[in-house]
Order: sequence, then structure tokens, then C-alpha cells
Amino acid sequence: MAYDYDIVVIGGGPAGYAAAIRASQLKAKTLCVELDKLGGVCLNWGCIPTKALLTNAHLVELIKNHGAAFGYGGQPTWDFAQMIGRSRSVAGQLNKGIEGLFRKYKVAWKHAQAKVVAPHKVLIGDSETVTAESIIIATGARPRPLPGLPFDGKRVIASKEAMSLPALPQSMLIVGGGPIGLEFAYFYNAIGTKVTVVEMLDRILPGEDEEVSAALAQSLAKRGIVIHTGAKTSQIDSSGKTVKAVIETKAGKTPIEAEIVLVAIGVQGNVEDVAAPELKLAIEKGHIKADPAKGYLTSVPGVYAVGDVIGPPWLAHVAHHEATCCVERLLLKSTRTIDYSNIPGCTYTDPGVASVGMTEKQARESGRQVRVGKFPFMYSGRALASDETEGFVKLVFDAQYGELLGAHLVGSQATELIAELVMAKKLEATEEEIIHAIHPHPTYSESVMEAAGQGLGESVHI
Amino acid sequence: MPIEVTMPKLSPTMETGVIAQWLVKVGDPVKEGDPLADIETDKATMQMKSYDDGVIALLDHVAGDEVALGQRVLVLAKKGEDPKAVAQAMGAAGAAKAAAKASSAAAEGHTSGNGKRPDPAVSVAAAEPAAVAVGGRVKSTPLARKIAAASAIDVARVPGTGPGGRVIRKDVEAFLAAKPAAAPAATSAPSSRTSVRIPHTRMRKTIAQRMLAAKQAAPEIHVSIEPRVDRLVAAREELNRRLARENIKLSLGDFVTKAVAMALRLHPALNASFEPDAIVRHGNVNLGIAVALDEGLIVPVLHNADQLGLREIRLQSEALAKAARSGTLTGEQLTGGTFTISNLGMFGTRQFDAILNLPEVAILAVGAAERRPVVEGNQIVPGTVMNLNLTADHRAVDGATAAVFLQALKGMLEEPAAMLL
Repeated sequence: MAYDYDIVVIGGGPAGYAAAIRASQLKAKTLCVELDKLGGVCLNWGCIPTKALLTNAHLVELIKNHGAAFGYGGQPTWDFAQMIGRSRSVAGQLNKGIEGLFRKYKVAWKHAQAKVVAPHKVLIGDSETVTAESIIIATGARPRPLPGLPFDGKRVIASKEAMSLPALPQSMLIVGGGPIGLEFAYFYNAIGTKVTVVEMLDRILPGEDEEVSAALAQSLAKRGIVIHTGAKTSQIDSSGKTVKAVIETKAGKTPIEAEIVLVAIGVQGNVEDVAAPELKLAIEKGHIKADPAKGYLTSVPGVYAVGDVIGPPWLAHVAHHEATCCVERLLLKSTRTIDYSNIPGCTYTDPGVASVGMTEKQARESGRQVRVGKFPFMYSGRALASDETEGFVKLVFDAQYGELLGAHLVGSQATELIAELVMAKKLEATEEEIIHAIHPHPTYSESVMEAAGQGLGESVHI
Repeated sequence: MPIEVTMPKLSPTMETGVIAQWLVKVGDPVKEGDPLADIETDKATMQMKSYDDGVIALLDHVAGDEVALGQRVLVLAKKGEDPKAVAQAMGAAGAAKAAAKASSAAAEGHTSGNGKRPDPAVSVAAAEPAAVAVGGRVKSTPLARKIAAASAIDVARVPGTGPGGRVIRKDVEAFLAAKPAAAPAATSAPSSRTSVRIPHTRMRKTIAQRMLAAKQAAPEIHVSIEPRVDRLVAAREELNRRLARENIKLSLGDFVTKAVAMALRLHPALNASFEPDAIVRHGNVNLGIAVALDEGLIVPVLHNADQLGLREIRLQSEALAKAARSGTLTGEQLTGGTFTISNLGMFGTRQFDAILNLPEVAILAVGAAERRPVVEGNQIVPGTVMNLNLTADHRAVDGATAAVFLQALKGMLEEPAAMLL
């Protein structure tokens, strides 16, 4: 039986467009169907536009906090609408870029809703049906609301609204101390909003190394962000002109009032209406069940799922790799799989946070002999020259062979520095290779080398 | 002129050799007699030595490559020659070819088959290109090397599954786990009844090819005889008493070896090779002794066995078997055989057929010596009897010739003193 397409991809985000382009590169007849804009959340409402805003915030902060030291004596003024506008135009530019890539690789795409209606059969829009040998679902995820507090887009908002507000809010309550919540906290705090962050667990960035959480909490607090950890937000009332709520901690209850409450407690998969109910597409905890060992096969033969819709870690770079692994296996190009223990995670505050692999605690709990090397940027000539000395590089090694188990960085360049350590881990480099690979002087990257050296007591600079 | 070194003939039957491991790299100075590489032949792994002095200018192949006899494997720059210039002049075509081969092999790993597109959900076994690149560098990660070094294993022996066949941590750990666990795993089979697929080793391929060739080429006859060996058993006991202080223990097999060697001297028609235009009766009696190994079997050669006493036969057989098991047989120890003995008596086998070891014209299958009722005069008495079953190539050996040889052999085994004649 001949199908209309070799592969139909539902969704045009980092997973979907990567799958479609890779499939096309491998000569498969491919169709990509996207309901909204190509590039998905990452490009339009996530990774990229927020980075535009954060760079802006960083610029504001540099002048405000470091300007005097660098000899600046003026009174800067900032235009919030321009910040938002610039961020939107960056997203628009990239969105056009994906369309260009689709043209380049001759990927057919449609702007429509799509749904798997039978094995190998996809309904596009209301009436068109196409058949495909394989179907890849990459519909992504969306912000999860607080139970009992639906988003209203005005007072109770999610990340999308937070990057396109009509005016600078005076105050903001952010529920959730993960990367998304903290990035907005950093942005709005830097440009003048009074920001309060509430995290349910006992520390912000609970997935990171404990020292990292502590260092970032200190840095953000110094900048004026109020952080409550081990705290619950309750009695939220968004009916008035401002939002009223109560922050409950062990110490007691604190009433709070804010112009806007941003809920950033996590995401849920866009699993509704992607497949006809009779197909019995298996869903688990709000995400499609897909088996990485079988090329991301779902419970329905011929139907695969990749990216945020299959669950954590909800990262664009993981979605991209899942998609290419899935496609390469489908088209018999490779059988490579993803090593989920070697995925970097970044938080683009300032200082930023980046990490890969095990935290020190996880490494110790795994029963290994652990050796930790840590180099504060305070000792880095380059960091000092830039007046950005917050943070450190912390490397966790297995003491037996010097295997790199994890890397945890806090600092102004952390998110750029982590790639070296992902590569080191991928190539199974040990601390010796990191120390003996000559790093250029003077750079922030030297601190990685110094941290490895510090672990062995060989660092000359600490 | 630079010297082009080609794949040498390291065993009489080899047509190709696999470069198991380079022992030199580009730029290394070598002297005559220096080892250049370990070459896996159809018989064993042997060292290829340099016949000249010089500097390695170019290696044409990577470890794992199979190279035909006479094909160039490396180029040696002589004194006064610039190795780099030599390498350029003599071309690295071989190396490029080797790399291309490796990558196409990797690609084939995913596309070969019956043409039907396999279910992508089933994992496709990845091709495993050799982990050794040109120049003998073993592709491996630092962590893999450290773990291997700590466990005193040569990382070159570990099959790599990383990109391009690189040996990664997982590979070394799997290698370490597999080694000691192999034996118990076999006995605890009930827990896992899955089938396993064991890719052919070079030895297995050779055995398969040679056994089939013998069956196809030679019309064979089987002739057997059953000597009564009570006197031999008694003689063995007596001699072993004498040899006890030398810590030497003769086996019945050693007596068979000795007797075969003596009988062959009397019957040179069996100590021969069949060639297309002639039968070559060999001057020397060189006995191949089949040695069973875990991975197959190998036939080292006891040279001039007819000139050896039982003591030497025992000592030399032992040394050959030991070398066979440790894979350290030399080329000489594997070549020159004129007749082969295969003995399964130690397993209690009463009788079996052996397949010819061409181009030799006969092979003797030796069964166990066992106590049986024997007719002596008109009486049934207990006696020790063994079965000798000769396979002969009827193109060269007729039935009567084989029978007469066995008769002589029987005589020597029944009356060991006859061997002294």
C-alpha cells in the first residue's frame, strides 16, 4: 500500500521542524503540520524572546549596578515597549528563518490542526485526510495553571503574557522558583518591578546542585528579589485591581498584594485531540508515552512522539535530538539514542546557572567516592576585569578514575561555559584531560580548567 | 628506494592475513627482526617481522583489515630517505581505502538484509568497525583507558561501540563483566533461554572452510582396527614409575604417537600429500596433533616424531598444547605436518571418524582404551582394547594400503617392544 507521505510530523516546534527537516534531508517525503507559528514555543514564546528580554535586563543592570565603577555618570531611561518590541522582532526573524529552512530542504508544511484518526492516517483541518507510513507527534507542552486558579491573561498570567505585557507592572508575584520563574523575576526586577518569588520546595532551582541554589538565591536577593522557599501561595484573589494572596511558610502566613501573578510551576503536554480516542494512544501523567529505546514509538504502531509532549526534561535541545534520533531510526540512518544523563540545563538569570550530570549530593548518594573541584570566579582575572565575579565552577568527579560525573556553574558566562563539560562528559574525558587541555588566558573558561585542577590540588591560582 | 613490505605467508594454507594489531606506528625506526604487527592467519596469530632496517613511512591498513598475500601493508623508508616524502610519493591510497571501507561497513550495518524495511522499533544491530585507526592508535576514551589499565586489560582487545568504533566506558565494563562470568552463565542457562548469535571468529571460518573443502575434494575411506593394548598399559605403568622422579607422565596417546611415527616410516604411502599431478611421499615424519580449544581446534606439528623417544614426545606434545591454548604457537610449529592424529579417548569416546587435513592423505582417529571382554583361544577374558579409525584419501591411498598400515600399527601397540626395531 502506498502512502501519501513517508512521514507526517504534527507540530512545527524544535522537535517538529527538526524532524521534518532531517527526514527531508534523508530523502523521505515529509509533511509538517503546524497549528500556530513555525518554531513553536521555544522560538516564538520561550527560549529566544526571553533571551532578548534578559539581555536587555542585563544591560540595564550593568549600567545601574556597574556603571559608576566603569565611569558612567548619566541617568539612563528605558522604554519598556521597545524592550518587548525588540524581543518580538527577534522571534519574528527566527520564525521566518524556519520557513526559509523548510523551503531550502523542500519540506511541505501546512498551517492547520492535525489529528491522528487511524493508524497511518492524519486528518488535517476539518476535511483533508493524508496517509503516512510514520506519524510523529510533536505538539509540545503548555504552562500548567495553579489548581483552582485558571489563567486569565491579565492578572493571572503564564510566560507567554509575561513577555508581551502592555506596560511595566509595579509589582509581580511569581509562583514557581524554577528556571522560567527566576528568569522573569530577574528581568522584571532589573527593570524596576517589585518581584516576589514563591517556591514550594526548600530552595530555588531545586533540580540544581544545592550550592548552586544557595549562591543564586543570594545573588538574586542582593538585587532586591524577595524569595520565599518552602512556601505555598494560597487564598489567591484576582477579582480586584490587584491580586491578593497569602504566602504560607513554616514561620507563618504573610499577606501579599501584586499587580500581576505569574504562574510558572511547570508544563503539561498538549495531548488533547492529537489522536482519535479509539486508537487508545497511551497517556501518562499528562504526556504521551513514548519509548526512547524503540525510537520513541507510542502505544500505537506507526505513531511516534518526541519533544515536550512526551514529558521531562522539557528542553528544546532535547526535543531536537529526540526528533532527529527518531527520524534517523525510522529512515534506517542510525540507531543512536539519547544519553539522558548528559543533558545540560541552563537558567539565564544574571548570574546564570548551567549544569550537566549529577549534583554532588546525587553523586555521593550513588555510593561513589567523590572528589569535588571548585573555582570561584572571584579568582578569575577575566571575571574581575568585567566586574562580574559572582559564582563559581564546581566539578564533581568520581575519585577512582577521575570520571566527570557532573558540572555546576553559577556566573555571568555559565550558560556558555557548560558546553565544554557536556563534550568532556560525552567523550568520557577525565579530570586530567580537562586540566591538561590548555585553556586560553584570560578567559572565563580557564575557571573550568582551574576547577578540575583544584579537585586534584594542582590548581596554581587558588 | 623505499621498501614496500607485503603480507607474508605465515602459514602454509593462508591466503589472507588479518592485521590484529600494529606494533609500530608511522615514524618508528625499525631494525631487521623487529616485530611489525600481529597477524591473524587461519591458524594462529603470529608476528610479522621486519627483514630490513628503516623508518616506517606509511601504514596501508588499519588493524582489523584483512589483507591478501603479497598485498602491500606498509612502506619502509631506508637510511637517508625522508619518511614523509616517501609516504607522499608512495601514496596513502591504502589508508584512504581502509577508512572508506570502515565507513561503508558501518552504513551496510543498517541497510543490509532482505531489502524489506525492518521494523524500526526493533533495534538494528550497529556495525562495529574496528577501534584502531591508521598508525595503530586504539580509538578509546580516556575513561575507558583508565578502567582498562586498572584492570590490566589491553583496550585494543575490547570491541568498541562508540562513534567510529571507539571503545567507551560501557564497552570495557561489558568486557570485564563478560570474562569471568562466561563460564557460570553457561551453566545457569535456565534463567535465560534466549538464543545467542556468535559471529564467526577467524578460526571458525577456517575450520568451516577447510572441513568442507576436504569433504568435497577427497573421496575418503574409513578403515578401523582394534588393538588389544594390555601390554602397552603395563609398559606405560612401568615407564611412568621410572619417569615419576622427572615428573613426567606418559599417556597412552604418546605411545600411539610413537607407534604411528614408526609405522609411517615403514609405510611411506600414508606419510604423503596428494597433489594434482603427483603424490609426494615426505622424507620426514611430522605429526600434527589436534588440540581442542574453547573457540575451535588447532593442529600444531611434532616435527620428526619418528626420531623422538617417548619422553620427548610427551614433553614436546605438552609444550605444543600449552602454546596452542595460549595462542603463542610459532609459524614453524604450525607448518610442515605430514600426518595428523586426533584423539578423543580422554572423553571416553570409543570410536569416531576424523576429516582429512588436506593435503595430507590420512588422519587417525584414536578412541579410548577400555576394558572389554576379549576372546582368547576359546575363552572370554577381560582385556584392554582401543579403536583406531583411519580416514584416508582414496585418490592416494587404497583400502589395502590403509589396512596394512593399520596392521603394522596394531602390531606395535600390542607388542610395544616392536617399536624398538
